[in-house]
Amino acid sequence: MRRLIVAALLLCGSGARAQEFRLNDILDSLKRGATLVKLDSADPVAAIKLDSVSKLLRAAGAGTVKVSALAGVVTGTRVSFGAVNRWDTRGTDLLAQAWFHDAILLLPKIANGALLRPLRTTQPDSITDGILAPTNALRSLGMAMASEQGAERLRRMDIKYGTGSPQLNVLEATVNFAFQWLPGLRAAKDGSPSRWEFLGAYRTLEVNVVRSGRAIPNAELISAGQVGLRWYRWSTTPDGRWAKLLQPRYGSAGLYVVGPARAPFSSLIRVRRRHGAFIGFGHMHLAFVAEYPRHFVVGTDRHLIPHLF
Amino acid sequence: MALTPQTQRWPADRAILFVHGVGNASVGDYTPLVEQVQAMLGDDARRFAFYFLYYDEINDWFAAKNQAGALFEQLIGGVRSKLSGGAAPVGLGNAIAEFAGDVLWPVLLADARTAVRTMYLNQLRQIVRDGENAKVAVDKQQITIIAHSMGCFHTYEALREAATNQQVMLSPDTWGVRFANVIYMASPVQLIRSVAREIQGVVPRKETLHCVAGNALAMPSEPNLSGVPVMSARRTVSITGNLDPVGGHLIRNKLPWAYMDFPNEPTFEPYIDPQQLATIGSGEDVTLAELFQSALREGGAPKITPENPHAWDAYVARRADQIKTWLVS
Repeated sequence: MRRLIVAALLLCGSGARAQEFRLNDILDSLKRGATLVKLDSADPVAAIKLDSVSKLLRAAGAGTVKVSALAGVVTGTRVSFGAVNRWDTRGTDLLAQAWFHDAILLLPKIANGALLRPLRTTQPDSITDGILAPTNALRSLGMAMASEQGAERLRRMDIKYGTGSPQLNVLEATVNFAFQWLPGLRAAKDGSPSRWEFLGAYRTLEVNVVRSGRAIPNAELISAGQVGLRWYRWSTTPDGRWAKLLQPRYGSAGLYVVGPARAPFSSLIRVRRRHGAFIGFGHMHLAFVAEYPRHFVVGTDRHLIPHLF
Repeated sequence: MALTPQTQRWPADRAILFVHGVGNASVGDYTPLVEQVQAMLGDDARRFAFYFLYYDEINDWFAAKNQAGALFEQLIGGVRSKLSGGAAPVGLGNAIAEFAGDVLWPVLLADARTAVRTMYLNQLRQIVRDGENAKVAVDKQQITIIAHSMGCFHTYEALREAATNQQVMLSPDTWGVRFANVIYMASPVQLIRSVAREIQGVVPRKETLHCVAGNALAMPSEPNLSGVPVMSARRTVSITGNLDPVGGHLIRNKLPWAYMDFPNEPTFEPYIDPQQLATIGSGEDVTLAELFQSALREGGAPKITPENPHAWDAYVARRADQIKTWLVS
C-alpha cells in the first residue's frame, strides 16, 4: 500500500512528493536498498550504521516526521509549526536535539555514499530512483531551503552594503573592521551580516534651528560630530517613496558634539565643545544639544567630501 | 536583480558554469568566450546548458561602502616586498601587487567573502535543481565549472564550503553532488593563501576562509563513512602559463608559494603551458607588466588580447582538444 502511495506521489511532481514523504519512508526504502545490494557484505560499516540509526529513530517515535521538517533540521532552518504534530511538543523537542540532526544526516550519507553506486550497477534506474526518492526529496527540499536562506542573507547584505546604504569614512571603515572580531557586533555564525555598524562622522552642513525671544526661528549651518551606532532593519520595506521615507532601512543613535563657533567647517577639537545626543532615521538625523544654550539640530549623513567626512 | 541565480531548462544531461576573474564583467561580456567554447564543442554544444556567475555587483558594494583602498595598502606593500625579495622587476612587481590589492579584500572583509560565496552556492544549487527538473538524476548530472583568475578563488572557497558544510546541501558524499570537471585557469588560490597566512592576525573569521586552513592547500572533499575522502569533483584541472604571475609563475619560474598544487591527488591534473609574448619591446618583463596593468585596471571587462598571458580565451584555445574531451566524456 505504501509503495502505491509513493508511486502516486511520484507522479504528482517533486513539490507535492517531497511534502508527503516521512522519515519512515526513508528508513524503509534504504532498508530495501540495503537488502537488494547485500550491504551487509558489501559495506558492513554502512549496514551497521543503517541498522542502528533506524532503530534509534524509530524508538524515538520519529518515523512520522515529515521530510519538510527533516529538511529544516539539516539546513538549520526553524521548523514551521505546521510541519510537526502541533498537539505533541515531543516532535519539536526531538527536532531540536543534536543527536537527531546527526542521525538524520547519516541517512543521505548511507544512501548516496554507500547504496547509490551498487544500486546503479545492479538495478534498473527505475528501481534505484524509486528507492532513493524519499532521500532525494529530502535533498530537494533542503536545497530549496538553503537557497532561501542564501537569498535572505544576500538581501540583508544588500541592505547593509548595497546601493543606497551609508558609505563609511576612514574612521568608520577602520572601527567596523575591528567590529568583525567583537561578539555581538560581528557577523552571525551562518554568515548573515551584523545589524550594527559604527558611526563616527564630522558633519559640516548641519541645520541649527535658532530662536531668539519671540522672533520667528531661523536656521543656520553649523558643524557637528557624531559617534554612535547604526542599526539596520531587515524587514522588507514596501515599494514607494513615502513608505521608504517612513520605514527607512536603518536608524542610528549616539553622542552629538558641536563646537563653540556656530559656523560650517568649524573645528570640534577646541575647548568649549557642547554635547548632546542624536537619533537617526534613515539618512536624516535629529540632535538635541543638552548643554546651554540648548537647541535642536537636523542634518543628513550624506558625505560632502568622500573618504573624509 | 543580478543576485538572483540564473535558471534554465537543460537540453540534456550537462551544464557548464563560467566564473570570471577580475574586472567589471556584466551580462554578455563573455559571449565571445562562450562562442569559442561552443565552436570547440561543435555539435556537442547543443547538449550543454551554459551558466555564468557575475559577482562584480557585490564587489562594487564593498568598494563603494568602504571608499577605502587604504585598508589594503599594507597588503599591497607585503606582496611588493615579497616579490622584490625574489628579484622581480619593479614594474611587474607593482602590477602583481595591485592585482593582489584588488583580489585580496575578501580576505579582510568577512561579509564580502560570505556574500560572493553565498551567491556562488545559490547558483550551484540552482544548476543542480535545473538538472533535476530536466529529469537528470543528481548522480548522472555532468556539471563542469570553468573558472579564471579570481574566479578560481571563489570557486575553491565555494567548493570547500560545500564539501565541509552539510547545511549547504552540496556535499559530495552526504548529498551526492559531485562535479564532473572543475577547471581552474590561472588560479591565484595558492598566492592568496600565502599572503593571507602572512597577515592572518588581521584576517577576520579565519575559520571561514578555507584556503588558509591546514598545513597545505586541500582539495574540496568530504570523508565517507569509512573516512575515505570523496572529492567534490571527479576531475580537477589546473592550467596556468609560465608567464602568468597570477598562476604562480614569474618569467618562466614557478613560485612554489604562489602556484596552486595538490601533489599526490589522483583526480588532480596540473598543466603548465609554455607561453610567449608576441610583443617584446623594452624587455619581456616590462611588456608583461604593461599587459597586466592594462588588463586589470580598465573599467570594463578585461580586454583579452592574444598577447596577454593571463587571457582566459587563450587558455581555452591552447587546451581546446583536452577541454572538449573532458566536457563531452
